[in-house]
Amino acid sequence: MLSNAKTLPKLYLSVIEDVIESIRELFSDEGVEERVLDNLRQLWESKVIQSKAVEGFMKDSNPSNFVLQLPANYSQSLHKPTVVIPAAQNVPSFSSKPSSCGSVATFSLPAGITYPVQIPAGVTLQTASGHFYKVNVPVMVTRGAQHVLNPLSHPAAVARSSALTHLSDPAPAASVCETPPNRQSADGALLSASDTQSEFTLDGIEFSPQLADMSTPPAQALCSDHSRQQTETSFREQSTALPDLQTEALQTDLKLNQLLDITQLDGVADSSSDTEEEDEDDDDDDLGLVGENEFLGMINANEEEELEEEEDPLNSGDDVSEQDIPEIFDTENVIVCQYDKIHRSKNRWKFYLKDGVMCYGGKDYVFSKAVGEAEW
Amino acid sequence: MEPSNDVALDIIITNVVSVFRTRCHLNLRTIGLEGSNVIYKPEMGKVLMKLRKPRITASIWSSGKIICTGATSEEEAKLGARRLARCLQKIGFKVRFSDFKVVNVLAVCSLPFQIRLIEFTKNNRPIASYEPELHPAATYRIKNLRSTVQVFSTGNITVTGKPLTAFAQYHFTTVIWVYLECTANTMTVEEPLDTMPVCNIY
Repeated sequence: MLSNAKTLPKLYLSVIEDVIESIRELFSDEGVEERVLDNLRQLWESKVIQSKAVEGFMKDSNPSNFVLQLPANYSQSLHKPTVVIPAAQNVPSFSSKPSSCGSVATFSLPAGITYPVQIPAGVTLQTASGHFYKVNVPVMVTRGAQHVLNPLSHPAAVARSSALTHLSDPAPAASVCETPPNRQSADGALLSASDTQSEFTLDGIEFSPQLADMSTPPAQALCSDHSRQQTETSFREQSTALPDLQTEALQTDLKLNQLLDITQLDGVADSSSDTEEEDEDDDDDDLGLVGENEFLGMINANEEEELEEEEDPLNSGDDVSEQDIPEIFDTENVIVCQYDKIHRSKNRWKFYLKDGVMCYGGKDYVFSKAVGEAEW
Repeated sequence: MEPSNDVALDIIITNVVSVFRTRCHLNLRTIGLEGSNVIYKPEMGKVLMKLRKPRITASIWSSGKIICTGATSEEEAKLGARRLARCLQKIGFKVRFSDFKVVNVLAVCSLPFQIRLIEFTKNNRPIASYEPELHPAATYRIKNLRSTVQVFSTGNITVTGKPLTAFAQYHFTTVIWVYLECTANTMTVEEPLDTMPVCNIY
């Protein structure tokens, strides 16, 4: 039971997340304001906290919320989404990354990664809301809520990506580091992922030249090679024309490296565990331990209803048919789950349950398997 | 006959099966959902409802026919059946308690001696039948009482049948006992008993 306490808040939060995100579009279609959605979310979270069904239900603190800011060009078809990462941020354990510019950020997504992070090409990432993004180019991911680090996004690439972004959620990267690739190093390095995949050294200078295209990985994923070739060409165009931007690159570089950690909590570090599922269907559980007894109240209502008179000598039914008062379980303990097997021998019952939520003593417990025995 | 000690034998009624009708159609799904202590078996088209006070289990069909089992006496069976009908009435069905009938009574008795079944069967040839490959007991059918006695070699006997009344049941079992006593005594008894033991029926 105790082990549930740590994962449960995350689970509930991720459920809330998912629901809110999935209905966001519906709401906007219906013309309902975002405010309402936020209100709903606030209400929901506060109710969960109030009910004290879950321990340690910490709301997200602001640092976790970061906004993907794309260059102005992107905003054509994109609205600025907000990525809310579920709570329970772990202190990132990689201390070396933020400080040292020259460190190679390793791409691994345990719970406690810090940004900036390098994401090698070919990785599929998943946002909290479930959208998948294939990163075809090495990417540096930072958290820069205030930074729009892409002074040099190619309009061409941008246009293409924006055309293709029906994806309203940003890539997991909080803000894309679109520092202008160091064109000096970028010449040869094009979008072939393999080239740049290996090294992403930040000697303060070298960036993966494909960074600028990071925003287009979704696009690329969608458009396969077509866009890729186009961006390649656009890269080439730009690479020759940006010597003066190198200094800028340097500066943004430094800024970049001063950015602090963003814990990435999707993809591998997805907070919802596989083994826990909430299933609100109570289709099969009519004989939950409490379910049976919920209706005793009905039987116990002391209405004196009479059986109708019969042609057979049947009494009015008052005396004979009155039930003894069975013990009433006036309890709110409920289990909502699915069943694997319910077995009975005489008056011994055995329950093999799965995928459920139990509210016991006011507290919520989520389980993937539950076994019970009872005597009636 | 040599006098011997009185032995009290208990004839215990272990099961009384009765039926009655509610004279109305019953929605099994409603009963399954709203009733208490019910087991809905859609594959068999019935609902089992168990009662605690007279410990009985009832099979309820949608036609309104109900079979009530597990009672330990006829009175109890009737009481339980009425309680059951009351439950159904509270759920909301227009139940009429009609055609109550006890259809079967099962009583067991444990004789203090063992019985040699083969000889027993030989002596009671047309009435008793014994097929050891099918069933370990000899079956003894009493036509006029419409009862069946199963005689086991351990001395346990079970009596099932449709008694007219409980009293008849009592007489019926004592008759059986006497019958067996005679036959057992003459042929197969290991420890002979001379006087008829006191039979208590529970």
